[in-house]
Amino acid sequence: MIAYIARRLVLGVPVLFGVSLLVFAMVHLVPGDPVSIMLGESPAATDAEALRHQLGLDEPLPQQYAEFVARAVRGDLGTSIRSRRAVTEEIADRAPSTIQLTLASVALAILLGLASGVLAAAGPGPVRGAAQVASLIGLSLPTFWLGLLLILVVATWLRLLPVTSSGPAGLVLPAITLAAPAAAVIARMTRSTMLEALTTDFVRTARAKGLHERVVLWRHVLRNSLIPVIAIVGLQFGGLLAGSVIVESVFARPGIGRLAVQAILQRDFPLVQGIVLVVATSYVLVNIAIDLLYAWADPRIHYR
Amino acid sequence: MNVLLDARVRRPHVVVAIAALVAFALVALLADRIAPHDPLRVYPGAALEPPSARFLLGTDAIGRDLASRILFGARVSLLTGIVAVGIALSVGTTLGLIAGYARGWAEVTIMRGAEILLAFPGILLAIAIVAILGPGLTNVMIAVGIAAIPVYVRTVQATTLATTHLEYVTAARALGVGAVRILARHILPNIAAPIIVLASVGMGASILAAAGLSYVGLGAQPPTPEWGEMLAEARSYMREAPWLPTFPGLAIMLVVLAFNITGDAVRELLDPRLRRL
Amino acid sequence: MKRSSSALVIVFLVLAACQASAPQGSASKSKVGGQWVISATEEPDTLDPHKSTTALSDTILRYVGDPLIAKDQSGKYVPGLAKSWTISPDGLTWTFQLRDGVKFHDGTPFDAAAMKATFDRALDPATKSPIAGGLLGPVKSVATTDKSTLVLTLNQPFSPLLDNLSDAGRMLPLSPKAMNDADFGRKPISTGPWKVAEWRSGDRIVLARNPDYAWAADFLHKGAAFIDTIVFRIIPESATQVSAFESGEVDQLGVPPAQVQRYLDEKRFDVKKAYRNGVGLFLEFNVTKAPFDELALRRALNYAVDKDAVVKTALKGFGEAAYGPLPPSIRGYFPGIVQYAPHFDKAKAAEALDQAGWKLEGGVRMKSGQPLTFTLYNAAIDTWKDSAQLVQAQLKDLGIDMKIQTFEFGTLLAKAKQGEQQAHFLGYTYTNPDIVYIWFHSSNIGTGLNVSHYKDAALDKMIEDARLEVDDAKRLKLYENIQKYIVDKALWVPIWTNYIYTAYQPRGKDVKLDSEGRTILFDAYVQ
Repeated sequence: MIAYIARRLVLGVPVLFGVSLLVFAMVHLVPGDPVSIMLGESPAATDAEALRHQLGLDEPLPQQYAEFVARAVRGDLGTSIRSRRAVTEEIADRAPSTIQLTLASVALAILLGLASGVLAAAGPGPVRGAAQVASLIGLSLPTFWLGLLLILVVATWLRLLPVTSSGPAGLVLPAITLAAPAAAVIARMTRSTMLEALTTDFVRTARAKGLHERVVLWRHVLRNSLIPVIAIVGLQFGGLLAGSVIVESVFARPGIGRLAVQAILQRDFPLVQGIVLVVATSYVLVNIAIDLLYAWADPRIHYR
Repeated sequence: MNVLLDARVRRPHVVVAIAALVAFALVALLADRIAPHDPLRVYPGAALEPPSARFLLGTDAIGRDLASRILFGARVSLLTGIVAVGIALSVGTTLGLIAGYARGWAEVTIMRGAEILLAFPGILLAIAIVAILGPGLTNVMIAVGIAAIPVYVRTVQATTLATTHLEYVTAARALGVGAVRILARHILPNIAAPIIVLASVGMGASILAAAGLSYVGLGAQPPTPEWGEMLAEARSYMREAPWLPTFPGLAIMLVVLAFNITGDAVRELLDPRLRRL
Repeated sequence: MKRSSSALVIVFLVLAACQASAPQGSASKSKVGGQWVISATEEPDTLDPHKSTTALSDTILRYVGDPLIAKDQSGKYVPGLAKSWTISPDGLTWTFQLRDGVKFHDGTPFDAAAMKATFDRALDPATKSPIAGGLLGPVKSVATTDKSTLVLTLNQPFSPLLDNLSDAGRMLPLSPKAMNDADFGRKPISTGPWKVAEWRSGDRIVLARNPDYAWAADFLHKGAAFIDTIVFRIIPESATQVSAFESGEVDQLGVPPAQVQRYLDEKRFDVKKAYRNGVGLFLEFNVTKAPFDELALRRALNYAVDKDAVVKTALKGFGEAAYGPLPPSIRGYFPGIVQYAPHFDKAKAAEALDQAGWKLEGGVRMKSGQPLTFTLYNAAIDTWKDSAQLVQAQLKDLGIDMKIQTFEFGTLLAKAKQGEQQAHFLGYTYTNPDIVYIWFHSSNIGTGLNVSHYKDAALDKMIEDARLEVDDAKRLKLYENIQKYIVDKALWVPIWTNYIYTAYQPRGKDVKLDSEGRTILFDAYVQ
């Protein structure tokens, strides 16, 4: 088990390096001279040279990459062109909002998804159909549309929930909006694994033993179906993190996603670079954690 | 053709979905024939009018016919789906084949590369690519396509690997049958199924992703009639002109839904595991 | 007996005196308190007035600082932090007598030395101030003759200086103790009725009441402000702003044109109207790049745009067509410019295009085998996007293919300064006619806002003369000539000047507008 954990962690390192390389390359693939973009005007020749030297742009690329990584590891991701604050500060200021939203959405997605999936697999007839339709719609719904509709109906007409509060009440609408597609995916996965499980031998045995249907469902079927769901959650986490881009704009939440879009529109490349690096790294780490969780939960993988 | 007669396909919602997709494709191709107005034509003084005989779905904020714009938007969406999936499929399949068949260094490089790309959540990768290329509809199509490549690589590689381990393929190789022949006769038919599944769902997902990027301003630029961009324009008029956000949003949802239902049906049809059920 | 009655009288008098010194109306204490939330689309780049280029920072800083010279609600100059001032007859020496008893938010006393330090910083080339330094114009030195006297010495007369000094958002005094702190841009320290309490990135900027404030201009009440906290809430989408306002989460909203009529009809909220101080939207050509290096083409385009249609559709009628570089609200505006400038006339436009060599071939204007096509650089502002598409359709009718590329505002400015564009949309807000210096003087090419890149010694001289002219009537005539000249050279197609509608929650009382349409919250209180 320890070996598995160690191996998984070690395998993650080259991925992280690859991510950082790609992110580094990103900025250098941008057409246009970064210095004139940063100085924003026809730069005086001396100013441009000074800035170029300060940013290390006159060094060979591999050396720039090495410094980029060294600085990143130390927590220095450069300075935002627009606000002239450290990129890490800008991200840190906005991370709590995105993390809150992502966690709330994951929780909601799991809850809704599991409930919907169970109903779709084992509920009474018409409910099964309805649940399946709901999942399909959840997959196909544009999140920004759902968000706008929710604001219009729930916040402005019915006045049930605030539009833009930063407290817990303000989390509800954005979390629902963000969770809907993820819940749909989880629901469908739950349904299919449950259906598979329902036809297996040990379930038939349990039923033959005369166990109550609900016990069968909960004790045997659901528990086994949960395992692939864990894997899905990991994948969805990235989607939630990235989907926050749109939801944060619609609900005016000061999060990383919105910062990313603004940074792109403002051609603030150090900021874009920093955000992509941070988000991708978190995604990798979360997936490693999910893999470990998965291994712990699924007895079949333990002793690989 | 017996695919169409299969009971799993004949279920009502699947039939409707397929019909919807056919309609979508027809509308996209024939938009310039069937649209009542020019989607770019501004009718001064007719801004924000509710649906009427003249403007079937109403007009937008500057006086253009919404119905025509939605019809032409179908063309844009279809193109987006095709380009994005086209890129992902062609590049991804090729790389996956090489990785699965040739093994060795090629496989390691390609698979590690795919893993790294997969380390980025899809939309984030698309956003990063748009950051490099600059906002615009074409760039969004390319970005969404590139972001989808790793999934194809992985799937194709896995299937290719599994196929090459089948006895008759190993035998063929041992007998010296050329690689191209093996690829064409044994491997391609096997990867066809998972690719088709990926592509059918991928169309819907690409359209949705591109709409989302256009919504935040990174995609289609005005006056291009793209459904996501139209939703972005409509959000200031939710109260005053509810038809403006409703119809483009419905269009996106229905088309993506149709792709998802069809993709599900295709998957049930072609996935050997599920055939048992 | 006598003692007790005199005691009674004394008590009575004391009570009466207490009543008299209390502000009129109900008990003054009950007015203090409460929070006022204002919605903003984008957060400022920095709150350091000498380094910022965004309009929002100007708005916020007006609550945080005081101007030397204030403007009352009729636009008349009244004492601010300067209780009196004199200008020498040659216009080169300006002497200010400063108020006593003023303190910065950090307790430092405000005096002439502090004001000098502030101005020196704005003028210092090392600060590279994008706007504030320019507002001081040809000020060559700042001196203090004693604790309360400040002397500005100019290189040449500068008629806009009085108006510029009344810009509290850029010319406010900065605490010398704090002005060079690293985070000064996040938390500037000045003397105003509110201080910056918190800036949560991307989310909100919170101002807290300054209880020691006692030096408001005479047309405002004495003492400190009433509202406890002012929150600038950053909400990028206008639809969300409107929803938040209507659900009570926001107290003050800049109303988008689409909602104005509804708000006026429903009367649920208090809506105030102001005239935009500036030309809200104009199409500006880059005269150094094809195809707009030809005057004839630029003039032809001035006939081609139906400005009234744009006002009617993009602004829902809440605005006016613009015909020159100055709006009616700026003193110096030449009313005759409306007749002088070209009006929308499709036939004339077609003829002018023909004469410029652009002939219609199969629906497209061609010249020497090249079609007439260009890209308009635009900003992501709703009314601008609508206007751009309307203009695009109008030009298409004449065979001109205009493409639109939308950028974030700061990026648009940066690109325009570099001259990357063929044409772009811009708008401005300003209060005196010296704005023509900023837009058209050749010294502002590249580093400043002369983004048409137009270089003309004759125009330069006209602008400089107007700056130097001390006689009011002569100055007005000079600006009239400048406006006509700019129209002649067709550097712009001015499109519209909008009306600004601001809506307030009914719980806000005594909210006023200043002479430039900005909200004055100093006398306001929350119920």
